[in-house]
Amino acid sequence: VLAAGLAGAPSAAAQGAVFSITPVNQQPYFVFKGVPGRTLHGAVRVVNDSSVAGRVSLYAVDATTGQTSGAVYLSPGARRRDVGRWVRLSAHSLWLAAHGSRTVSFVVSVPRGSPGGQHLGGLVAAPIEARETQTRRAGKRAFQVKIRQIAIVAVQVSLPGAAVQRMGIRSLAASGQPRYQTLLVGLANTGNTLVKGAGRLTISGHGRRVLDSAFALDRFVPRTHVAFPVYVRGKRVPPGRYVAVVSIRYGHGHTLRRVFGLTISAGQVRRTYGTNAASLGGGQPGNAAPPGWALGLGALALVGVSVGGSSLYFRRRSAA
Amino acid sequence: MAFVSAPSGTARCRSSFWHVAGATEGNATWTLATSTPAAGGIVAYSGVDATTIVDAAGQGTGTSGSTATAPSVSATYAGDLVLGVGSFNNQGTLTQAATTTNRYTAKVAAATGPSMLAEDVIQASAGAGTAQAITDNTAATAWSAQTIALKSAAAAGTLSVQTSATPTFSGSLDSGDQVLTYALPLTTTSSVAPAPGWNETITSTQLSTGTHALSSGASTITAAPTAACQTAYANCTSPTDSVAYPVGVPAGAGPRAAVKFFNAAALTGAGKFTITPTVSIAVPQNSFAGTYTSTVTIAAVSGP
Repeated sequence: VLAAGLAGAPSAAAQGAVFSITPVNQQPYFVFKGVPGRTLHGAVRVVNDSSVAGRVSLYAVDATTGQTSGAVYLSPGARRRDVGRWVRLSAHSLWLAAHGSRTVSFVVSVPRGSPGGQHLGGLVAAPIEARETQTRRAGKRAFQVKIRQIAIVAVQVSLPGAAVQRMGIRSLAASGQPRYQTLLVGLANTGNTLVKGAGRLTISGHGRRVLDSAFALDRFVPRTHVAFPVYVRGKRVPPGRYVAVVSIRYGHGHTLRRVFGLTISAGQVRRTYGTNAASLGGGQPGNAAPPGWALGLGALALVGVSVGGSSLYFRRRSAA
Repeated sequence: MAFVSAPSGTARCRSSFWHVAGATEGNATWTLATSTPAAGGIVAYSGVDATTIVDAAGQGTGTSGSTATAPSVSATYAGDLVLGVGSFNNQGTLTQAATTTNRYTAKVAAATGPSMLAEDVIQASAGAGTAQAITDNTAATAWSAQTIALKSAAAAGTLSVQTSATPTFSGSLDSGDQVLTYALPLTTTSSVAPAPGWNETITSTQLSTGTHALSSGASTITAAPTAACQTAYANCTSPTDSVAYPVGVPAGAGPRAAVKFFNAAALTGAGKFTITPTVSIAVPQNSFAGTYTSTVTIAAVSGP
């Protein structure tokens, strides 16, 4: 049982150093034209943008496509296969005085046999320690969030070869995520260049269209795929079987369309809207799923009817 | 950088000019509307950002005294070169402010001068600087002063994000499935509005007690974060955000790949802003007791 209200004093944020990382060539980020087997050179300026001294960790990572599209950069623990693996920094850790800065050089060694097209990674400046924020107690539960603030500058390496813009629509599935009814569209960039685009998802069933949702696609990193979320706005899509059409436009006028059979289960809807649909929002009140207490009462009533019916049946059989 | 001063009596006239120098430069000439004593000087600087030359400026005047105060200005960028120029309507001997470097003094040998001095100092960090007091060994009946902060080329392109305040949780956990929210004020500093824009991404570890965890889809940024220029900083252009909301905050081991939660469209978003996303956490009624912790990683990204 959740205790009423919120209690407990927040703890002060531990202040730490904050860093930025910038190409020394005055460009917003690095764009190299490389050749497999050759080495590229660059340098970044790492700045302590805060009024306290601190240690910063420097590392290279691969880029990927974020679930909502757009290039994002993997964590240092993720396996490096591409640019993140090709980069060698001259320093991996720096101690910088308040407002101090240092220039760090790096090389990009493009392996022989690397495929043509665009490859994307990033150089990351990350404080060693995360900032602790606040603990908030709520009865027997408490919530605390720690914040890490990092800075990333992209490293894009273009290798010789024909540019291929090719995307794929791989799947469509309903998600049972809390709060927002979501359809997950499996999208992939199987080409070798960054592409942007837009798409549309329509869902029809029982002779009527129940969803028509347009969405924008930010940059898609080559050789990556995501389960892109399309949120159902307004009236929820009830459980049932549907026909869904996903269409996308991308790159230089490319289009793609695919039709799916789609099943939305009662369990998925329940997981989304929970046992208290009114407080979780996301649906039309008139179309809300029955709340948990109502389901519970209904179940109890069914048990009662079953027990009562059974005893009546057995009494009659005994009397017979 | 050139400065001209032509005070007469209690009237003061002082002007400052900048010009990006070419390979060869000739003399510079200023013409006054009426004949009056005037003094001036030129200082050449390298390492100034050619795109945004003046980061901030201020001025002050007085009708008496022996100190011309070039006021404090609030620098948007770290590493500004802050010039202070003071002029008096006499022919006194001028002294620069402490910690500054005197670049030149100039004066006219007349009762009403003018006399002037130009000095500068590097301001290491962004924010309010220090006023520069230029003194005259003789009290004047009029003075004027000016502060000009030149943006360092080394500051071009810096982009950083930091939490500027303690996030505040709110929400009631009275009964049933509930939503807890916390605001996350982020101070984002972008010294330029780069052509490709910039963006901020978020990822997290799952909210977990160590033995029990909330759903990996528990946290969501439900609406566009507020983004406000910090008014104390000059040259602030608001970022144009095109991210579609809600944005689910990824949660998992590793942690999972981030998602963009805010972006500045091309050529927008130069200056210092407070960007405040509000994260809501879906807390099911049947969640276990304990302390749920998560590490949220926010990245300021300069990239495609």
